Amino acid sequence: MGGGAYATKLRHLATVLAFASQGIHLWVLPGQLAAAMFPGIFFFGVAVGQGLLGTSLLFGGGRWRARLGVLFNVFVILVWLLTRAVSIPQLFEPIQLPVEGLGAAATVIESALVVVLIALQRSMPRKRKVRYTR
Amino acid sequence: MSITRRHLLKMGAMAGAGLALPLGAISVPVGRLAASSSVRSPGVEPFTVPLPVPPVTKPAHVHGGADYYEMVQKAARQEILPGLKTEVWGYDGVFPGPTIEARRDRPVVIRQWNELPVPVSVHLHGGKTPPGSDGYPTDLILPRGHDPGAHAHAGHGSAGKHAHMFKDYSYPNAHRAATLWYHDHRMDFTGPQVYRGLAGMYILRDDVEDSLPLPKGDKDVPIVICDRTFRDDGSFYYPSLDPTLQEEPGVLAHAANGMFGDTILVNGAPWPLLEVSNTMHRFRILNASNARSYDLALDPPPPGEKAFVQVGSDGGLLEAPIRHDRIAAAPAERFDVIIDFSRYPVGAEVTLTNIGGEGKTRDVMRFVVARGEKEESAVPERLAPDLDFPDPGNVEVTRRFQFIAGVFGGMSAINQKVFDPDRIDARPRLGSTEVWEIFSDPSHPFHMHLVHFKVLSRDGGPPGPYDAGWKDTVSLRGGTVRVAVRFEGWRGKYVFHCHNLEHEDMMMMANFEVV
Repeated sequence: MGGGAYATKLRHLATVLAFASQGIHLWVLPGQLAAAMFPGIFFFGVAVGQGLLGTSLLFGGGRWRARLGVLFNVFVILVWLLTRAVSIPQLFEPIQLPVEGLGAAATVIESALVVVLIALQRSMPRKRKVRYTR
Repeated sequence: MSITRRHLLKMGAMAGAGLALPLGAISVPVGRLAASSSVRSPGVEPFTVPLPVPPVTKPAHVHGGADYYEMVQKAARQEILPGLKTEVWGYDGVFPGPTIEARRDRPVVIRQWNELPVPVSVHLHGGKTPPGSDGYPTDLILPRGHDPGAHAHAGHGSAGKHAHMFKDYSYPNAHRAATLWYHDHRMDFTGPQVYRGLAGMYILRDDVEDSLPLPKGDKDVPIVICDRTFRDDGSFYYPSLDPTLQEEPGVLAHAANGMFGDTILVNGAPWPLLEVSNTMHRFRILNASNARSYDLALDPPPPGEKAFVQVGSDGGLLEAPIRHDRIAAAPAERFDVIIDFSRYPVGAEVTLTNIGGEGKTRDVMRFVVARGEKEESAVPERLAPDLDFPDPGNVEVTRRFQFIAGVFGGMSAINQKVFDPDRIDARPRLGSTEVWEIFSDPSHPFHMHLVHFKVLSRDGGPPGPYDAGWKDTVSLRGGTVRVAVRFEGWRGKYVFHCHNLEHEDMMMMANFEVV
């Protein structure tokens, strides 16, 4: 398999994973926002971010997009892990949130997405810096 | 750079997937939140409706030294706002429910029938009650045709002991005279069900109280204060996530820290008026609001003296009266006070105000000193024998509990745990004395079932002016309150919780088991 075809496959896989994560967040968003404002706003942000990432990957993808995608998804995963490990009453709820099915599924998807995006990033050739001389 | 079809397609797809889909997903909840926040009750001219007094119900029969009552919880239409009908869920179809008058050491058995479309549980607030009759949140009375496995309490924890259609609650009444109240206590849905009307007074009397020259008869007035919001058609407005109260518990995010109505009701009437003689009257004040605290005062204040003489608290008469300019009452607290209207001229209008309120919620009700009359009552300087408070020197265990609510909604918790009917958080020994240290942010009314307690300190200092006597509910006011509790009566599982009912429904509750 040529490097370009491999990168395209990775890109498509990343697109599917980003949309899958977005789908889960869109599914729970209405109920979450109605009941608890801050988590609802966070879910909205994740749904927007994953939607933009997925669409952008669908139409091509550069290293910066993969990097941003990695950073964004690592942040989302860390928030999920943090809220399951400790309670942050000022932001979320005064309890360690339970590990529920959809949240765990989204985190697995986002972890896979991070791996695929890193692989995608590595599969892309670095652009040579062009030096302009007189 | 030229814009190609591919660019346009990409921008369109990004706008659709990245923005339109999420915005579409939030449109419904945002619409619900906006609509909910904008509900305002129809206008009512304050101080025009006479103060109703809830009817005192009679026993269905008397047998073996006990009084047997029958009560039917059902929906009914009641005129609360003038000219409009409101569907209430009431004990015997009235809101507030009928008053039960009981005597010390004379048991009362109430057969509660459930003709509502939802499960119910009845708690006698302040009663020292055996566990089977305490109204544990999952000890439900299921309505006719209700599948016990289906959403009886939205799936939190294990099932309780369900009764079908009716249940007999036994109250031994083996304690001092006190102003108690009964209300719904269904797991996850106490807030909306009390809001719809499931609350009533339970006045326990005894010989000690009878022997005092305090105002009696129609000068001994129950004052059930609560706040509600109404829709234009007169129906109650409560921001439930699931208005059927069958499936999903909880409220819309803006009410997560409590449902605050814009209309103050006293005994079920908006800003009512009571004509009084220029004599002393006894008011048994109950804050039956879901979440609102009141800072009550008289306007104008009586010349020269304090407005209120407190003679009783949650657990009955104080040892000696305490004089206050104001009464700060958190949800579920009771204050038994005397107002002496002889300090006002006949014809004076005296408004009971809520200093902490804003706009319409600043007023509560009005008294009109309508006639002169000979004074036949007095407030003795000694009200009750020594109250036999728990001795802090005999404390076996000190426990600490932290009450913290989610700032932006969601679950509320005690010691970072949400309520689980299967988890026991304290196992006090029957007959033992314990100190419980309760910390809160920002303010929660802390309530214990089964027991009364004595407030020992507030934020390291002495108890506050409203902490006197035996209490079963105390406002934590964002600080630390230490209470001494003697666990007497029965072994078994009981709850303690925040009596902000929206917090309670969102799991700010825990179990203790007397062993």
